[in-house]
This record gives sequence, structure tokens and C-alpha cells, in this order.
Amino acid sequence: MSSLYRSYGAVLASLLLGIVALWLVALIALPQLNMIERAFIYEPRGGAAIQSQVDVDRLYQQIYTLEYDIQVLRQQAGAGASVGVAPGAKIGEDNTAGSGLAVPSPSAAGTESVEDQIATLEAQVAGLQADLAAMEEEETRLMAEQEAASGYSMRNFTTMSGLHLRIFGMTLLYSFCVTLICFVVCYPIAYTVAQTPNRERAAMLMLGLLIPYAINELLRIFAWTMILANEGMLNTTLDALGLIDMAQGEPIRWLASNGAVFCVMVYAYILFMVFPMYNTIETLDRNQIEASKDLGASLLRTHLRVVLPYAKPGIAVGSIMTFMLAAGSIAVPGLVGPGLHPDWFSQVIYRNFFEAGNWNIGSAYSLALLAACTGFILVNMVVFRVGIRDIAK
Amino acid sequence: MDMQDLRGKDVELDGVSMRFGDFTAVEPTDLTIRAGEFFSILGPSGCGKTTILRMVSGFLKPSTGRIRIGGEDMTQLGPNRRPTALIFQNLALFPLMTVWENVAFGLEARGMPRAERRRRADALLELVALTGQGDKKPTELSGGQRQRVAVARGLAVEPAVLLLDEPLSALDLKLRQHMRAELKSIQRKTGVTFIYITHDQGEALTMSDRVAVMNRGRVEQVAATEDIYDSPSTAFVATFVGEQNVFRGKVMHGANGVARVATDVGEFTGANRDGLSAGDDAMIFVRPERLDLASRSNETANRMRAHVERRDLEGPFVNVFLRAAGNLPLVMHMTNSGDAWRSLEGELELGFRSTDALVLRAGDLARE
Ligand SMILES: Nc1ncnc2c1ncn2[C@@H]1O[C@H](COP(=O)(O)OP(=O)(O)OP(=O)(O)O)[C@@H](O)[C@H]1O
Ligand SMILES: [Mg+2]
Repeated sequence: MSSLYRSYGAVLASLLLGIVALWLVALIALPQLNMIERAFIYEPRGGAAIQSQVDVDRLYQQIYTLEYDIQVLRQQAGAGASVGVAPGAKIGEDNTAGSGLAVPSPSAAGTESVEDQIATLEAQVAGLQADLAAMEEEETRLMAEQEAASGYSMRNFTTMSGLHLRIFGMTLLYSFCVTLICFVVCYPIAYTVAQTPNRERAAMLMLGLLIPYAINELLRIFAWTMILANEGMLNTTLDALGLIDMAQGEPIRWLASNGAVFCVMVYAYILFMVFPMYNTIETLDRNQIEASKDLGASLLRTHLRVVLPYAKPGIAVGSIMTFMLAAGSIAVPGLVGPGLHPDWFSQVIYRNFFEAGNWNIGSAYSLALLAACTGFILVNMVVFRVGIRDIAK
Repeated sequence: MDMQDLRGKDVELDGVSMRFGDFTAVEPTDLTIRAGEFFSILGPSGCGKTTILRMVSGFLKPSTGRIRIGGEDMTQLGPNRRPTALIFQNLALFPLMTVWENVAFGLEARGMPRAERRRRADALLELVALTGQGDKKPTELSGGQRQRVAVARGLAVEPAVLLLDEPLSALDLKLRQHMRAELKSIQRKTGVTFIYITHDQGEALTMSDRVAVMNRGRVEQVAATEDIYDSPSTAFVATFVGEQNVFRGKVMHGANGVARVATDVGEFTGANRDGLSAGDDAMIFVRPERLDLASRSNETANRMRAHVERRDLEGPFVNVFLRAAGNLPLVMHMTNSGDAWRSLEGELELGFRSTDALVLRAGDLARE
């Protein structure tokens, strides 16, 4: 900090620090805190209290309708007409009737006098009003109960449905699979590139890995859906090779599986695994590999005992990045055969935020995912016995 | 480790050469290294020493020729299937393993149970005077200790041939001298064939039984250490090993193992090792310690005049730097036997015995 002041002067340094502080607060701390707070506020929906609120509203409406009918009848009586008016709504058991406009009914029973009709209706209103009192009492009780229940609580987490919990677990498992596949794919690449004596060729290989990342991520993913679609390139190629017969209607449904999602994710995140591994393996002295061979170790043992232990920090970093990206990925499961493969948790979160409009549940789910990812990082660091400092290297 | 488990084998290079693209790193070479011998390969940087070692250890396939170890053809075998162990120039210890795990790595690769590995590693550490250091990490050891760990790791696989690529070059002078003695004694104790690479002639001369001197991919001479110094067979070897005064000239006549050569400085007579005859381009080599004041030499055949430029006292002896006719630099070593050297000034009359001078075909000299 003091070196910053020394090299930039007081004004510029303060400005820089101010910008950094603003960025930390406005773009990181506040949104995170907001999300965390939301996660712990339970906002009940469709519960008993809301139901009773709806019922009370409906009752009020019925009473208004009846009173309107009574008024109409009174006016008719005052005008001396003896036209009967049917009640707009039946009473009691039929709560669903909502349209309460009185409709003049020319076929009304002429025998019944208007006075009688008014009397009947008034009796009904009285009955309803009694009901209303009881229901309003019930509503206040329920609302109070709900008031007590909301506020800070763990209910957003504890009320996670069995289905969502399963998706949560499976997502972590899938992300782990993606990380594992990524590692298996990337290790030979990273090793070969890092240990190639020919620097130019290594640079070319790295460039080849980098170029796809110049393309927008969505396009990169979408390219895969074109390959994997039923009428896509893969099936067409297989068809051309005569391995399958599309005309007979047997295209392979690549998209409708987690396999497709894994495959695309590995492709999408491969660089985040390759680069950290490449960086560590590159610093491994070639002589150590040769020494191991010279001492009679097989290729497998050389890798298990010499290269892999050395590459551990890189593997840890790569795994952490890949895992977090995979667990949080919304684009890949969203674009690759959506609805055809098991849901990813990120999709559930997305729906909570943008379809159900339930930000609190969404926040809670996000927080759960964040916690799981943090747990993964810690486990990773313990398993690989690397410290923060190794990773920072 | 039981010492009788170890037995050196001979190594035979038969027309072995190595080309990288159109660059020849090692010219076709025949070389026989005897079983149990301390054999050094000496040469300037880039002359192909490491390349030869890597061919013997199996990391490089020779472009031509065959390599036999203990009479068996090894040309097609990989490094893990040869009875050799390589000590790398930078040691290449495994930094994440403890010292004893390093030493026992070769045994681990052979599937030996852990307890037995540990026992053997400890025995080897004792051999290299590192008893009780087994549980440290290599980085916790000093340079010399790491050096010995590398040797122990190589010996653990009971190699018939231990290949050492300038293993002492990273150490400071004092430690280097100590380790020379140490390596030599380990070699004697184990009887393993050592092929030792160095560009330090002092190292080669003090430790080895025999030395091969290489230049530009060619082995110029293979000989016992004392012969390398006293009877070099090429101009390169003569100047690479030890110091020399060099006179260029043409042979006037050569016969009976003696040649007379005309040079800018004068006419000199020396041993005609290459059998040169009149008219051949030749060089005469005289060691600084064989050059002397004419007044103290009763031989009259080899006389010259030179001007004293500088005298450096090096304790037991004095280096006298002179210039002869044609600006030819000369150096003379004199033992420090009193005040005699203090009076060496101005023009001097120098001389040497014909038996101390060597006449060789003109050729490459080792650069200073
Ligand atoms: N893999 C290679 N490809 C191309 N040229 C090589 C290769 N290995 C070595 N050389 C060349 O072969 C020559 C001999 O190399 P080598 O490593 O054997 O030298 P050296 O005698 O061990 O030198 P130093 O004392 O510096 O270690 C050098 O000119 C080097 O540039
Ligand atoms: Mg070398």
C-alpha cells in the first residue's frame, strides 16, 4: 500500500484505492450480501394464510353482488313493476359463481312477490356476513402465524423439495464427473505439450487450444448441438460411413443424455484444466523423468510417482476451476438438448429467479451451491495437500 | 547393500556415431571401457560427451554402430533395461520424496517391499557417508550431500556401469576436491565401472584410470592419465591437457624418432611421435616446466631468446611470461628456490632438452 503511494503519488493512489474499494463494495460485497440475506428470508407462497385471504376476498364479492341485487329489486318495486329478478348467485355451497350482475328474468315466478325476494336475499346476506366474520378472524390468525414464521430462518433450505435435493446432489456428482473427464483428457495434452523439447510446436499446440476460446461461449456450445443433433454432423457422418441408417429412422439420440452435456462441458472448460497443469508440468525438469526411466520405472510409475505429485498444485487449481464452472454452468445444460437430460441445479436456480420470480428461494439455492463448491475446494486442498500459497503460484 | 552384489562390466562402442539432422555430434567411434575401470571422457563444451553418455545409457539411439555392455548387445534396449545408471549433471533428485525414497526409487520400481527397500537405502546412505539423513528432503541437504544421494540412488539398482555427467560442476572448488576423493573411493569399494564426463582436466587426471579426450565429436586419444599428459598424440590433446608452449614450423628432416623443425623462433629438435618427414607442417610442444634458462641446460640444440614480460609468484613456483621473436608468447615454470627468479629481467636465453619436446602434426589447438 505504501509502495503504491510512493510510486503514484497521493492523489492518484487514493483514486486507485477508492475505485478498488468501490468495486469491492458495489460489485462484490453488496450483491453477495443481498443474496445471502434473501436466502435466509422465508417468503411463504400458496400457504393457508393466502388461501384464507383469497376466500375472504371472494366472500366480500358475493356480499356486494347480493346487495346490488337487493338494490335493483327495491328500485323495481318502487317503480311498481312486478318483474322478478333471479338472484345473480346461489348461496352457500356454490362459492365459485363470481359473476354477480343481476340479469332481468322475464320468466320469473309471478307468484312470488318482490318483497319476498328481497327478504330471502337479505337473509342470505346476513348469513354470509356471519361467515365473513368467522373467516376474517381465521385470516388474521393465519396472517399472524405467517408473520411469526417469516423473517430470518433456514426454511428456504429446509423446505427444499426431495426432487430439488436430488438434482442438487446429482449436479455435484455430474460436475465431479466433468472435472474427472477433463482431467483425464487434459493430463496427456498438458504433459505432451509441456515436455515437448520443440518449443515452437508446443506454442502451436497451445494456440490451437486457445483459438476456440476467441469464439463466444454460446456459439461454441451451439456448435456442439449442431454436431450432436439427430440430423447433425455426427449422425450424418455415421450414416455416410454406413454405421447407422438414418433413412430407417435410427439416428442415435446423442443430445438426450448427460453424456452430451458432459462432452460439451469438457470442451467448454478444457482450457481451465489444461493451462494450470501445463504451467506446473512445464517447470518439471525433464531429467527427473529420465532419471525415473533410467532407474527402471515403467511409464505408469514415472507418472504416478514423479509427474503427478509434481503437478498436484496445477491439478488442484484446474479441478477447482472446472468444477465451479461446471456446477454453475447454465448455458451448457440449457442449450444442449434442454429437457432431454436430467436437470442441472443451475437450471432450477434460473427458473426460481426468472420464471417463478422467487428470488429468495433462488438465492438460497445459489448459496447452497456456493457452499458446496467451497467445500469442494477445501476437500481438494486437503486431498492434494496443497496450500493456498501453492495454488497462488 | 552387500558389496559383492556389485560387479562392473565392460562397455564397448563399435563404430558408434550420432547425427542430429545434418549435424554430426559424434563421429564414428570405437571405444572399449574395461570392467571395473574409472574411465573419464574429457573435452570442451559441445564436443559430444553427453551425447556419448546418453547413447550408453539408452536415451539416444546411435545413428550407426553397436553398443555392448558385458558382451551383450544393448543397442536396441531402452534405458530402463540396461545395467547402467546415470547421474545427471543437475542430479535430478525427486524433490517431493525423502532422501531414502529417492535412493530406493529404483528398488520400488522393481517391486521390492518397503521394509527391505528402507534397509537397503540405509545401507547405501551409509556407504556414501550420509547415515541418518534418510528422512530429510533433498532440499534440506548441502550440495555435496545431494551429490552423494544421487550416487547412492544410482548404485541402488546395482548397475554394472555408473555414468556420471559432470556431477561436480555445480559444487565449489573445495567441495569438488573433497568429492573427487569420495567418488574415487566409492568406485574402488564397489568395483562398478564408472564412466565419468568432465571438461575439467584436473578432475579427469586425478580420478581416472584412463581418459578419452574428445574434440568436435571425435575421440582424439584414449590413454592412461599419465600418458595423456606426457605423450599426447594430437595437437589438441597436447594443448587441452595442461599448459604448453607451441612453436609452429616445417619439418627439416625427421628420422630415428627425432625431427628437426624450422620455426620463426629458431630450429628445434624433438621426439617425432607422428613419424613426420621433411616438408610436413609440424608443431613443437614444450611444457612450461620443461622450459629452462639456457645457462642451466647443457643441450645446445634448442636455444631461443625471449623477453620477460611478467613474473607471477605462486608460492612454491614462479610463472614467468615471455615474448619470443614474432611476438610468440611463452611461459616458463621455475621452482621457487630462493632469490634466483627475482633477477629474471630483460632478454633471456632459453632452452629445453630434445627429449622434453614433442613434434606433432599441425592441427587444432585447444582455445585458451
Ligand atoms: N537433441 C539434439 N539435437 C540437436 N543437436 C544436439 C542435440 N543434443 C546435442 N546436440 C548438439 O550436439 C553437440 C554435442 O552436445 P553434447 O551435449 O554431447 O555436448 P557436451 O560435450 O556434453 O557439452 P557440455 O560440456 O557443454 O555438456 C552440441 O553441439 C549440441 O548442440
Ligand atoms: Mg554435457
